[in-house]
Amino acid sequence: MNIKELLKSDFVILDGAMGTMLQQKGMEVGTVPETLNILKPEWIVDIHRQYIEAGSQIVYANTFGANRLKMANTDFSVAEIVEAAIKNARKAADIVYEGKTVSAAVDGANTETTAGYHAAGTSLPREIKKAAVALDMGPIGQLLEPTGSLTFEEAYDIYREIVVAGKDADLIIIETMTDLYETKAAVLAAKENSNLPVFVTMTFEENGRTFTGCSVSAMCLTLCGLGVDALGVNCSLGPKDLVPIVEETSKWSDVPIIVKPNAGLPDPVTNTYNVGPEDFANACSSMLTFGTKILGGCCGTNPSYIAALKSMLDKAISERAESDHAVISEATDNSETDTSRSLSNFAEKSHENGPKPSKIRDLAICSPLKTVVVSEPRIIGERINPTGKKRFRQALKEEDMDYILGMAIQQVEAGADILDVNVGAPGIDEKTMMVKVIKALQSVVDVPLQIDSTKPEVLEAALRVYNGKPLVNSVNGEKAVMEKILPLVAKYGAAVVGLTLDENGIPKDADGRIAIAEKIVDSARALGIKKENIAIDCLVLTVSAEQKAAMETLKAVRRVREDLGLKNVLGVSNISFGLPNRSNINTTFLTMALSAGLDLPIMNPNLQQMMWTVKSFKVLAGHDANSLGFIEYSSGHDPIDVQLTEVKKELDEARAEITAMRSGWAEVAGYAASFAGKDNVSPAAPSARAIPSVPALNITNHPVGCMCEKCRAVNKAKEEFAARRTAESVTGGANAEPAQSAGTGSIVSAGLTGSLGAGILKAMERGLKNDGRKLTGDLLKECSAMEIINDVLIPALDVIGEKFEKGKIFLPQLILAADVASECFEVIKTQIAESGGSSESRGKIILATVKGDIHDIGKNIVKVILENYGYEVIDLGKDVDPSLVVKAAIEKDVHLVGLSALMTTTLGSMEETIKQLHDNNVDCKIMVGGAVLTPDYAKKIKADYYAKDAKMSADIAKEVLG
Amino acid sequence: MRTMNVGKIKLTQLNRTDALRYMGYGTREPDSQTSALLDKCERELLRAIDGKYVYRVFSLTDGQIPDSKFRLDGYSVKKHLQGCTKVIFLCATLSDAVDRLIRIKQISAMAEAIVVDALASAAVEQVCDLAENEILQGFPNLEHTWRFGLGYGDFPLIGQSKFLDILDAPKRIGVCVNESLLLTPTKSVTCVFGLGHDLSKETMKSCDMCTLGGRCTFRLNGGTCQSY
Repeated sequence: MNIKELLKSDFVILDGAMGTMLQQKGMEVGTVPETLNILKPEWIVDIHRQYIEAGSQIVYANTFGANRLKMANTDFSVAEIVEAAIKNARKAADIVYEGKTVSAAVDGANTETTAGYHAAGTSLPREIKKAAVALDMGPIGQLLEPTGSLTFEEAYDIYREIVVAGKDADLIIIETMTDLYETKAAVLAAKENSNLPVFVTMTFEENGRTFTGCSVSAMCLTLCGLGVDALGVNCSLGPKDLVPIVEETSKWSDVPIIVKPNAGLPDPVTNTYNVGPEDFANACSSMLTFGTKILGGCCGTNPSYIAALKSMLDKAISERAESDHAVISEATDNSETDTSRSLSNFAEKSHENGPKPSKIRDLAICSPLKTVVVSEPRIIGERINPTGKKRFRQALKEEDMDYILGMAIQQVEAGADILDVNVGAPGIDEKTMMVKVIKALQSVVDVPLQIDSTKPEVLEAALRVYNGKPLVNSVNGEKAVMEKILPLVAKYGAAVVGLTLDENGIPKDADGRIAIAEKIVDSARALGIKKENIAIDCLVLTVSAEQKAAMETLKAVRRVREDLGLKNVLGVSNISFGLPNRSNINTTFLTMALSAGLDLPIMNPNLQQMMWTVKSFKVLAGHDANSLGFIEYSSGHDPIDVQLTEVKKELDEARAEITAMRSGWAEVAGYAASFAGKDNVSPAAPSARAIPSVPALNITNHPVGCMCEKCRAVNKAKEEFAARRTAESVTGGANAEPAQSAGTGSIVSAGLTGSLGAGILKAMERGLKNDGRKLTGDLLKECSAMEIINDVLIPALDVIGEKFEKGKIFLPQLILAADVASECFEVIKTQIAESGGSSESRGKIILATVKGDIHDIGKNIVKVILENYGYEVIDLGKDVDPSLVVKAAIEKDVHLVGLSALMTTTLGSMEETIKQLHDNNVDCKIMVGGAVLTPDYAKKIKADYYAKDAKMSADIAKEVLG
Repeated sequence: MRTMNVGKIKLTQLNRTDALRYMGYGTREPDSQTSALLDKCERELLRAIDGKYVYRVFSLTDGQIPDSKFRLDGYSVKKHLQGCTKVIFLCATLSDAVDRLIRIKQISAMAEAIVVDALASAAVEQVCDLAENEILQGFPNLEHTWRFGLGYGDFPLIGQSKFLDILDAPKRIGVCVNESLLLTPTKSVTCVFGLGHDLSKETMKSCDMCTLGGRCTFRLNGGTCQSY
């Protein structure tokens, strides 16, 4: 069966529901339907037969859930099920075909009985065609990362197995998808492991989104880019409710549209559906206007729905033929129709009488959640790039994803529409890092990404795991570069930035750059890359070095827009390199470039002056209708001069507060002193002045978390010991006696440092990040980083921790304080990185949420606290395989491992991880925590420590690592 | 009687009492800092929540559903459904956007992540409460038991995947299960409740059955979830 041939007819009829029919045949609730391909083949063949007789031209083999995860609970392999399913469908097609052939031979020129096979609407004798068999692939049944635990690569492999097993099908249909990422995995698996045509339908809710938030535009942009042969919607809603979704699809899709609705929704008791065959067919007819070419039914439909659909389509064709006859001369007029798009002639013609939704033909890229159409200037955030940023390079080296993600969120909040992602730096495995960063980014930001690398292997890895349609930065006019990069852009359906340089460098004048742009466009189009998917970067040269170049670039920009009809990209801030007051040059150049035709400025969106320029331009150029965007932006951002006043005010307030604290930190001191007057049960009752020592009772043989009297006494003494130490440190030696217990030898002298220290404590208690940052900056002028950490930040954290333990504050407040401390550490880290030093760590700790567990908030809370205490946390993430923990502990020489599990079902993984650590003789202590853990259980699975909360994990770290 | 087995629930405010309890505040009044956090997080969370549920009603014969491969196994659920003539399978979720919000907050503001997480746990119970009310309107003449969660007592969690398949939950409301039997989106619930006449008080919740044991936050505060 030639599917591409079949697509040339006006309509193609699919089948209806399989599950509904199986229930009617008596399938028990809870049966795995795919097993019936082998257990009840006669049922399956009969259902296919009924559909084909009703008019289906393509039947879906009963392979919807035939993946290895679902088949694991049956007695059959994926291959057995898939092969049997295709055989069953083929058998039904053969039975009907042979029956029809016989009857056609008897009846002579058959017109009635075979009409369903060929609804081409021509008056020629109809060819009898055999129904085609589709390999049907539905969702795997487990959610992919980031919400679920299945990786993209695993999903690909699961689909690959099905595709290979289904090689005898005529086409592959991927249906009922709600996750664009999983859909991409399935499409890649289909296209890379077979030559069959691929159809895809996704399932949308009334709001035009799938359950995972994927929009119709994102589906179309991504799937058309990947080269599917038809796409559309199935399941979810009844046909009436699908109309707006199909209309939206028609604006974005380059390929024929599929519609396969439910017969409404099922009754909770009888499980029967509420839309009948006639209503179903009528509702479907309203979707023909939008270029719907391939129709069928999903849940709740049966052969009578397909028969009703067929007669509706037959009628539509004959009506069409009549009006065609009347206006036959106009029919050949539609020369604009691109045959490769192969949209139904019917749809094209039927728009003569009504408005057809206009196709979006601008450059557009997307994530599942957000589609960015470059119909007006859009900002590409440039901050995720290590070039010239030591702190960023350090984050890459330490695989500190939170730092990179924080930068991403900040840019999006500042107004970036797209984020550029570049992770190339010396000593970094760029390919691995790029994949890691892209996956992490798409789990938290919704803007589309621009993948920025010069290495084809990095680009390909990134294009593979990107969820949506990205922009590739970049290709240039060099032949070798185009040959390597453009095929990747074509294969993965991305958009691409073309730099106007080639083997001979950057042409001095606009003519030369335009010539290169044209060369890039020609090469791209030869590979099937559409013109609208190419943007040109005419390259900004530093004006202080080449003064004439600025105007030449702008001239080229204008010609790219006017002569080539393409979008322009520019890295704006290069212009001012080497000049003072760069921001003035930058904003002026940005204004000039936007005016010349710049569509995609690559810039730092955190610079408000630049943002105001873009926002203002959009008003003046008429993009921002009624200035609504500008007004909205204004309400959230004060003009620059007001901001400066605000900053000054804040500074003044901060100064006033510091002064007040200097004279009035008695509160903190009082807190410390309060311990002195208390009754003490510990054997070594501390005096007001002496630093207490930990009691010498030996409890090392007692179980972790033991609550016997001895242990309680020791623990209490430990607590008070810690509290006193803390209080004395924070107050800067309130009792005028240098403390030596912290092991730092000396406390920075009282006075300024002490006051600033108290100020930081206050900032932490109140959750004031800005104050924390400012005060740390001030402290850095006076003392070393290590002094601040050991004598100010950690003692302050201890005070907060005490309050938490005593129930005076609660988890959110503890973490608010920790967030402030993180800001303080960030100031210190940045300074260390800029001065070329490396941060001193108190020791390395591995943290992981165990295999199978996807609740990692608890582990992340612990991480924040441990980092605050100056430990280097190697965060292995969630759902971590035991072997990875072992590997990391050995390779990175780590002596404390923290494991988290939230659910009873994953405690087994925790036990296994501990076992593997022990079996491999890893020299480390293991602490465990999580909602369902108990000290007893922790002991049972041979953990060394049970941490009841984040604060306790810090205490354990202190004990183990110092 | 509802004619469709799926429903949407719109929440307009969230149960802060529960959220505070989850965060360890017990019954204490939150301080102003925490209240401000709750205000902000509730606003953002309400925007992200897309409350949905799917349910089916089955007849019970001898405590089991006839012609079904799903077994209501375990002493606790059998006892719970004693005397019931029907059982309702319910799955409810706050949807994927909530997981996303919690992920974002963990990067941008961990304290808010904790508050959003606690509020969301409270919210999914609210969705269940409202769903239960809507469903029960179809059975005005029957008494009902409380919602009995899969995995509660000795009702095996292993049935989770089949349970979702029976409800068609992946297709209807986007709820799936991973290999550790955890639901995704994470703020989702699966449960059953029984319908019948003259149901015994035995179907009240009991601490003996509960797996939380000594870690229950109600009991730490001297109460139970029944007295609450």
